Amino acid sequence: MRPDGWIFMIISWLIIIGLFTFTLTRILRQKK
Amino acid sequence: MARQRWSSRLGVILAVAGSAIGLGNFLRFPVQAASNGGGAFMIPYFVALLLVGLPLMWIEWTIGRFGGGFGHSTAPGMFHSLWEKNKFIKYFGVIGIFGPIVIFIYYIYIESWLLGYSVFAIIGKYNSCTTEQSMAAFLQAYQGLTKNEFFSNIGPAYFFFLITFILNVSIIYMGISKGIEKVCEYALPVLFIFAVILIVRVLTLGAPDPQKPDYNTVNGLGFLWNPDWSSLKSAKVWLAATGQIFFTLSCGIGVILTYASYLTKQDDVALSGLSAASANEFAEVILGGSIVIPAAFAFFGPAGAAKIASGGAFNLGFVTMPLVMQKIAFGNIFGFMWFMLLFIAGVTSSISLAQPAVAFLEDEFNFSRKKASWVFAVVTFVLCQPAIFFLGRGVLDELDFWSVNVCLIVFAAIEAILFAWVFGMEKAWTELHVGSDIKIPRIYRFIIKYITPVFLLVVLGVWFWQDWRSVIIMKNISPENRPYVLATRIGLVLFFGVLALMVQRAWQRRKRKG
Repeated sequence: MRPDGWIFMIISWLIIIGLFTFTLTRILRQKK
Repeated sequence: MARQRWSSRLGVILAVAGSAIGLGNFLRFPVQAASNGGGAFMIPYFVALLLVGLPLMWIEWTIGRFGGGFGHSTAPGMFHSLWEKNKFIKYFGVIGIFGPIVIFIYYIYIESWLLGYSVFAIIGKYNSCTTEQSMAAFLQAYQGLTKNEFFSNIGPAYFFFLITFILNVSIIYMGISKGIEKVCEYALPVLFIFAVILIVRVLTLGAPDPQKPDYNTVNGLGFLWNPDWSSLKSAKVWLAATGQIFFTLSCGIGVILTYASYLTKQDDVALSGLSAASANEFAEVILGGSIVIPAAFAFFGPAGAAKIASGGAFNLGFVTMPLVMQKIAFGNIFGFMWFMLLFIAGVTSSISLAQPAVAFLEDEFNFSRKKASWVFAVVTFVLCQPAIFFLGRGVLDELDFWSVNVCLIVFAAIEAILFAWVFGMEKAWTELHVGSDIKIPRIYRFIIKYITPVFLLVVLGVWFWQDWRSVIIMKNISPENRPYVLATRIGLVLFFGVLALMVQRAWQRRKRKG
C-alpha cells in the first residue's frame, strides 16, 4: 500500500468515525 | 384508528440506518471504489455526500414528519400536503410507493439466496467447488438456470425464497414499534459484530501464500485505497460516486418519508437524519471497505482482484467470497457469518421497502394493519414470480433498472424541487429545525435550494440524453430476451396505472367524507 493510499484511508476513516461519534454522543446525551 | 409511533428515538435511527445498510454497502461500494480511482474515488464520494446525500436525507426526514402530521405516511399525501393547490402532484407521489414495491419483488429473491448460502456454508454444500467456474456453476444451478450435481431444479431456491418472504411479511405484520423497530434494534448490532469479526479475520490473514508475500491484506487495502489521480478528470467516476451515495443512503425511494411520518411534530429530524447517514457511512466505508477486496487480493493477487472487481458485486459476493472462505481455517463458520451478515442487511432493507405500500393501504383506505399486510403479501407474492422464474431472461435486471436507475433519481429531483421551491425555503428551513438538536450550517440553505436540485436535474438530463434511445429500442438486450423485457415494461406501466387509480379513488373517498 502506497503512502498516499494510507493517507486517503486514514482521512476517510477519521471523517466518518468523527461524524459517527459526534452524532452518537449527541443522541445519547439527549436520551439522558 | 390511532397512528402508529416509534417507541424510541434510537429505534427510528436504527430502522432508517437498517434500511440504508444493505448489500450495496458490503458489495457495491468496494467494487465501485476499486474500479473508479481507488482512494481518489473518495473525493467525489464525499462531495456527493455533502451536496446531495445529506440534503436529501434532511429533505426526506422533514417531508416525512410534516406529512405524518396530516395523517399521511406515503408520498402522494405528503406531496399533496406540500402543494395543496396542485391537483396532479399526488400522482408524482405514486413513484414513492411504486419504486419500493418493484425493488422489493426482486430484492427479496436475492436476499433469499443469502439465507440459502448461509445454510450451505455451514453444511459445506459448496465445499467441492474450488474454482471460480465451478462456484459460478453452483450459483447458476441454484438459481435454476442450469442443472448439475448440486441442484436439479429451482426447488431449494424457492424454499429459501418462501422462508424469506414469510419472515419479511411477519415483521411488517407486527407493526412499526413491535416489528420493524424491534428487529432493527437486534439486527444492526449483530450485523456490526459479524462485520467486525470478519474484518479481524481478514486483516490478520497477512500473506496466506508464503510463496507470494506481495499477496497480502495490506496490499489488498492498497488496491482499494491507492489513489489514481487521473480518474478525477473522468465524468464517469463522478457519476459513479454520486450513484453510490444515492443507492447507499436509501434516498429517493420513499422509505425514509414513510419511516419519518411516524415521528411526532416535536421529534428531531436534523440530528436523526445525520445519525442514520453516518451509521450507514461507517458500515460502508469502514466495514464494507475492509472485507471483500483485501480478502480477494490476499488469495488471488492484483490481477485476480482486478478481474473479480470488474466481474461486479454479485460475483464478488456469491463466487469469490465462498472460495476465499474455503481457504481459511473454520471457513464454514466465517462463510456462514458472511452470508448471514448480508442476509441481515437485506432484511432490514426489504422490510423498509414493504412499509410504504402497507402504510398507503392503512392511511388512505382505512385498512387495518393486518389486512394491509395480507393484501401486500398476496400482491407482491404474485409479482415476485416473474423475477424468480424468468431470471435468465433479464426480468430482474429490467426491474432493477427502472426502479433504481430511473425512479430513484426522478423521485429525488421532484421532492427536492417541491421542498425548496414550492413549499419554500423559508418554511422548509423552519420546519427542518422544529425540535432540532443541532443547527444545520446556513450554507445548506443555499445547497438545498440550488445545488441539490440542479445536481439531480443534470444527472437526469445527462442520463436521458445519453441513454434514452438505446433503452427504448432495447439495444443492449439480446433478441431472445426482448419479449420478456417488453412484457416486464408493460407490466410495470400497468402496475403504475393501478396505483395511480388507487390514489385517485382514495382522494375521491376523502372528498366525499369532507
